[in-house]
Amino acid sequence: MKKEPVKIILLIIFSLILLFPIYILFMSAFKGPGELFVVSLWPKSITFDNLKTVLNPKFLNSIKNSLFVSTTVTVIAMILHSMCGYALARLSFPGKKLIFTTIISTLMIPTTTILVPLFMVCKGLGIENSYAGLIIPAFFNAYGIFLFRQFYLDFPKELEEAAEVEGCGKVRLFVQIVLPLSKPMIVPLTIAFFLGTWNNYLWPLIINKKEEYQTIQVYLANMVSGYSTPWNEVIATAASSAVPVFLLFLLLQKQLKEGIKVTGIK
Amino acid sequence: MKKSNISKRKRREYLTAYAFILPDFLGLFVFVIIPIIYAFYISFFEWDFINDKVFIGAANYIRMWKDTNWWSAMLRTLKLTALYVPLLFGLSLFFAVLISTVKSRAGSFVKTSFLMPFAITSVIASTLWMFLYNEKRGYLNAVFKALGLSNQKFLGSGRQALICVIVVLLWINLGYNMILFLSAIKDIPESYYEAATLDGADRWHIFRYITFPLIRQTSIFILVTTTIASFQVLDLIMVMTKGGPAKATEVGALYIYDRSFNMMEMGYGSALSVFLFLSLLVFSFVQMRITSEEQGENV
Amino acid sequence: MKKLTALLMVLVLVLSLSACADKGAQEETSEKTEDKGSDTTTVKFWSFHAGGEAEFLEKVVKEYNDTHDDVQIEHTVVNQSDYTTTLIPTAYANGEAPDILYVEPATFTKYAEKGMLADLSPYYTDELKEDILPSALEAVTIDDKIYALPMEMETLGLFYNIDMLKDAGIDPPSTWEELYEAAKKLTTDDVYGLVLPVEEAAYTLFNWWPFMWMAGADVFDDDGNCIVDSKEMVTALDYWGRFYQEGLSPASLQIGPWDIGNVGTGAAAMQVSGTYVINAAENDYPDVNIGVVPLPSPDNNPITVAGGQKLAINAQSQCKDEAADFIFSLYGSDDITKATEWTTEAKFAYPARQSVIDNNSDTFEEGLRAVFTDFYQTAVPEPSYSAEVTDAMGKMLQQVMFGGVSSEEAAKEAQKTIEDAAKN
Repeated sequence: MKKEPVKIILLIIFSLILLFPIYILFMSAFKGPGELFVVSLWPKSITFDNLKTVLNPKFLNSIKNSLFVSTTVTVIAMILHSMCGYALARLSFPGKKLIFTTIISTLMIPTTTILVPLFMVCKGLGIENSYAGLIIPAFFNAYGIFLFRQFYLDFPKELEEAAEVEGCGKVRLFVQIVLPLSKPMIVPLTIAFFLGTWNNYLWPLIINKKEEYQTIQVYLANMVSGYSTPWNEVIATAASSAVPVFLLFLLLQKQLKEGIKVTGIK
Repeated sequence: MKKSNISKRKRREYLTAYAFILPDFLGLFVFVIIPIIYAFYISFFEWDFINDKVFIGAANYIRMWKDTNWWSAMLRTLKLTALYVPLLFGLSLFFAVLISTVKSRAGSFVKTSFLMPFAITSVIASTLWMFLYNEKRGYLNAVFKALGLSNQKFLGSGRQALICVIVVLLWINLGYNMILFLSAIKDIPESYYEAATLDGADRWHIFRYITFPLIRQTSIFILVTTTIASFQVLDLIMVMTKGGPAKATEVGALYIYDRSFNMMEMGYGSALSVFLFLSLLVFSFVQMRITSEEQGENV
Repeated sequence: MKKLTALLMVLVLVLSLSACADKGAQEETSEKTEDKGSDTTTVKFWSFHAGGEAEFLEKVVKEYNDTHDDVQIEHTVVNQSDYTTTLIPTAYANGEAPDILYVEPATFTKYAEKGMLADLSPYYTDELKEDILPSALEAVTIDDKIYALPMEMETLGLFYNIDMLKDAGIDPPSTWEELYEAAKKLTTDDVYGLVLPVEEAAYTLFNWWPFMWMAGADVFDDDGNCIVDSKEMVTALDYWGRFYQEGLSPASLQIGPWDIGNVGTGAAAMQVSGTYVINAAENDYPDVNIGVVPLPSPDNNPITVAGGQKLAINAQSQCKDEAADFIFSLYGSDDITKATEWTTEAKFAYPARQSVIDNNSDTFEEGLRAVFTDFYQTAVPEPSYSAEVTDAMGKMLQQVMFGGVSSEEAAKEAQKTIEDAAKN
């Protein structure tokens, strides 16, 4: 335990290094146009002009769209993938290996290649230029299934066995015992899916051309278009667009602390 | 009597399993597998998006075989993977173990700080890191100058550019993978450690024989997904260097994008993708096989 | 567990709120479409402009829609870097491409050769053909068919920070030697002498062409033979490459090479950029004295390049006549108000029509614009090559700039690639 302070200092120094670029982002949002590209740790004169230009209806609308799309994707993906991952890890059935291999293989194709055929599929389903087109294809990502499966593979068998002795069916077992104990995985996966969707750029760009459904990343990219980019405004908008995500982190921070504490349940 | 009971239970388990898997599998089939099959199909055609597809057999694959630009791009991808994957794996595991032993409240500050960069989109991250990497007015060179080191060109240097990209990738993904490791480490019952400490095992032994084996599934997961991701790095490079200087950062995925959309050779681009897909498939399953054999168990 | 439940409830709340907002929005739009009835033809139009240019486009689309009941323009703004690279090809593949799209020299030949663009010749009146500058019209004509409507000519010049040059005792350079010496003198630990583009992209080639021409080199001779592997090309490559090799020009840029912010924020003393930044040079950086001179030349015989966007109509479009009516009402009609507004107010560019130039001679003599007007006569239209040629030339430049390859070798390799591509 003597080494605890050393460890903490090491960790804090490293954290500060990782935070430094983010500090630059937020600090630069308050810099005047003349000094944006000058190396400094604090603005010479703090200006709120950049932030004033950020909060316009188009920006707010794109934040609203991104919140809606990312939240929906995350909630539904959690439900679908935990079920699928559980079945692949814990239930036995014919064809399991083949199904798992097929699912994992889908992770390996470069997104750019399936962009055009995926567009065709969505057009066939008539979901282009709509929330559905932004949301539905984003659910299906083998990453979540794979992670849940790995998690359930390590999941203590004792818990299930105890429940099975009591004559609990597999569905009830999953819903009442396994799912509540899956929090250690659900939290990081919530982060992964929420951010994956929030940060996705290429797909929303292609599938939706309607301004009313524009997402924040597409909005940001459009700001950099043209021959003279208002960099102060771009930086301020970029910083503002990261705020909702940081809030989500703070909300989840407590959850990150806990494991399943198997020993306690026993 | 008992036998039929078991098979009945088994059958019910099958049904439950299929019901659990069906929605995901159907979705993946429609939105991922069908597009992949389509990409495979057009890899045998010459197609420019606009005019009718012309069947040319394996010509795209033969062309790939002779395309030296493609192989140099793939070599860069391998370089990136060889550097990035072990670094990310090692660093996130190291910090996860370190944090797991810290009892102070500072731990949660550290976790959140590590995770923060993960919230930054690659497009913003690239813009942001340009502030740091800038040759004349960059924060990194300012630090170097203070330390008495010489000015570096970073993204403008053919030797450093790929490493600079890797640093940004690490910055973004370190925290998230650390959290995954941390979740796995937390699930190890305290009693295991207590027993080992009583036996007089030192830290390294505890890590090697208790922690590491017990987080095996998470390790495999991180290894495989990071390898896959490293093969597909695209947007970061597109914003930061567009493959330059002098192709120093033109990786396989960027080359595919360039051929498919800039040159409008979708058939050829698909053939390259199919190759990339197959090599990743082999690579990942070998990876999983090796890690599982090491442990003497099935994956 | 309680916290998780609380979190879930928050999520559900956000969901339902957004869903309500969404419903509202949907109802609004459905009402709109009903109003116009089913006889309305919708013309899709994609642009990528920002600032004053975007405002102009928004305004003219609204005006057009308000005065037409049977035709409605559906205007979508996307961003420029994805416009030609991802969006247009993907949209064509799915039959979702806009009826009206922008083309530039870098993409024009590629698109026209693939049959993506409709022949606009029937919509051109003889008067219009007479009025458009011959070189501009020639640049959009293939085999007597006109595939686009030019509305602007953008030319390159050398922008510089007047005070920085004055302080260093340097006159604005006019020869290659002077430009090199000035860049060398002005390069310090904090400032680049001259900003040139760095990436392997169409914009870099756009900047490179005039330097290549000024050295007397070209890609093809008049008979269409590839002449990349020439002495003159090596001279041009040596000159161009020197700026990067000696660190007078940056090897990587924080902001776009076109962005006048490079000079405006003091990152560089000089910068090659175009007419399109004049408004920004005057408005966005009021504290910085920015001047412009013609591109320096080896023998005081400057040449510049003239590029610029053109409007084209999708060959697959179901409403070519309606689309043509819209774009010709803007830039091809007898009434030149809109064509004038575009090149003088929305942005500054040289108009593609003689009548607009003649009617606005005052505007083109104002401030920085006068310089461009003076050397406008030396402008050569930006060439439009096939994808293979563009690729080979881009690679050649990169090799010389950053690859440590000699100009001779790089030119030889480009020559070979272009000849091989021609054979296939």
